Amino acid sequence: MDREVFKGEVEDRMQKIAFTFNFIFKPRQTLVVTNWAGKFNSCSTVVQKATALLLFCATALFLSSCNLLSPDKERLFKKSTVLMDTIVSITVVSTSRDRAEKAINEAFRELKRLEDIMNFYSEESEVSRINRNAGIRPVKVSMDMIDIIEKAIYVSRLTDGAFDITTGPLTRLWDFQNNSPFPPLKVRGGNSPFNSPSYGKRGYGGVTDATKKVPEPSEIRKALRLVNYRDIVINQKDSTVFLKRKGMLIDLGGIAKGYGADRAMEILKKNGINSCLVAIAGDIKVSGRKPDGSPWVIGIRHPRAEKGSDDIFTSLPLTDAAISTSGDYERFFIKDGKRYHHIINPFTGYPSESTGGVSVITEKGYLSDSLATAVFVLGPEKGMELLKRLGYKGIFITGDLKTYE
Amino acid sequence: MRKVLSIFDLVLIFSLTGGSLLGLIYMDRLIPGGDSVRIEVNGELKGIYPLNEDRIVELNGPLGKTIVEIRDKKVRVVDSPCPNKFCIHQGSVSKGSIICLPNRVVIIIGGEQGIDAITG
Repeated sequence: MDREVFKGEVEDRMQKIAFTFNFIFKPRQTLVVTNWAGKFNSCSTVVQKATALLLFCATALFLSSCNLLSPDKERLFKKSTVLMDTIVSITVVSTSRDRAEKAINEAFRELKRLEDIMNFYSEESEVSRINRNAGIRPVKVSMDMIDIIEKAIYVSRLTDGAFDITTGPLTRLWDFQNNSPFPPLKVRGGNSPFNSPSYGKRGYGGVTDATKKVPEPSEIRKALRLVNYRDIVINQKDSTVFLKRKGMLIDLGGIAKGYGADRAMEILKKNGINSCLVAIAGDIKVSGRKPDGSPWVIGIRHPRAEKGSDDIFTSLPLTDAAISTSGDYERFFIKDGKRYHHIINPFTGYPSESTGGVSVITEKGYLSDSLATAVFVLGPEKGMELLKRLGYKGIFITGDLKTYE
Repeated sequence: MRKVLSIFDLVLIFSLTGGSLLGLIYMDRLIPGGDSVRIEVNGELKGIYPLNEDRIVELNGPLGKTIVEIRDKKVRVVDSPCPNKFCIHQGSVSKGSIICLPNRVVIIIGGEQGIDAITG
């Protein structure tokens, strides 16, 4: 190699780059006398410098885009599925997609297991077995069932009966699920409410429905007589539940989703996830913060938003908390101009007189879920007063958009 | 008498003025607008509110209460305990931000509401 052709420091470096380049691509040749350096030398200095610059840029670009430099970045992973009669969405913060998926899938499996145990509408569920044997005999059940019923009774005591899972007879009477008789008919074309995507679909929305009827006062009175949480007998030792009177029915709808959110989060934490968001329809539980350090932000749906739209009334940041909302706009039907919604007052047997919706924030999903129901039953004044007394926060937005906090 | 201004001078003046105006318009376009406003006090997020719903937000900062009003898709500071009241003098804005530094209030009109989940 003719080193004397290069003069000065820059040229010296160029010489070294040229040699390295040659060495990488044609090692043997460079060790033998090669003309490559000679060919590089005979290019003009501009070309030589340009080549050096290009090589430098290419290397820098390659290194910066390489994941080698940021292997442990935390990212968000979200997965949704249909469970517990609604859309369940879990978002976790993790450095690995595989770990995130494994945790989320396990949480989904647990929710499915809980759903099978608690489903009011399935004949094989433990709830149905308990209900079938009301007034007859105690039923042996899983630890989960004992746990959730004990929690439900606890909330009944806290709210003096405003929350009560023995409202099964009323649930069946008002039948907001359209489970009897059969799924609704679809009318061809047009704006018929029967064609609306959320009609009859459990979980959201209401409709003017000619086939829905308002139960007779006598029917309501009969059903009301069977409502009393104090008539639930739990035997911890034998793991049994007994409903004292024939005809009694328990319905876990007002607490199951919140309970599910608690469980799902336990599973995620067990799998090493510390920051996550579990949303079972509107029953949401959060832990930790997002990768950028900001808190999870939860939006509260506008109680008079159009069906299917995502109009937010307000939103708030939440950390390590659970929020649930009960409202008159989730499941309802309108008959003769009056709205009949699915939050039945366990004292009157009729839908609660409250309008709008209330969102309750506590540290546990089952508590937020059941308290939201209780506060809605009690109304914005008495309900929020109770909430405050219990030491929890919430926001009640009435139908005419007045807020109570 | 020689003309003071030649045609080149005129071209220069107009192009400079025009260029500056274009620059101003460009800068104004760059300021992000949005359909929601994010309000922070003392570095902590107080809430994200939609612009299409009129409301009054009260913020408790180190100096006292700052009152923010959202009306007609615009945001303004109604009252604040700061000495110079710059934030109030900003008037109603529909994009950009208003800051009350003494009372640590930051109001940013942003893009989508950045909501992670909806309850209700």
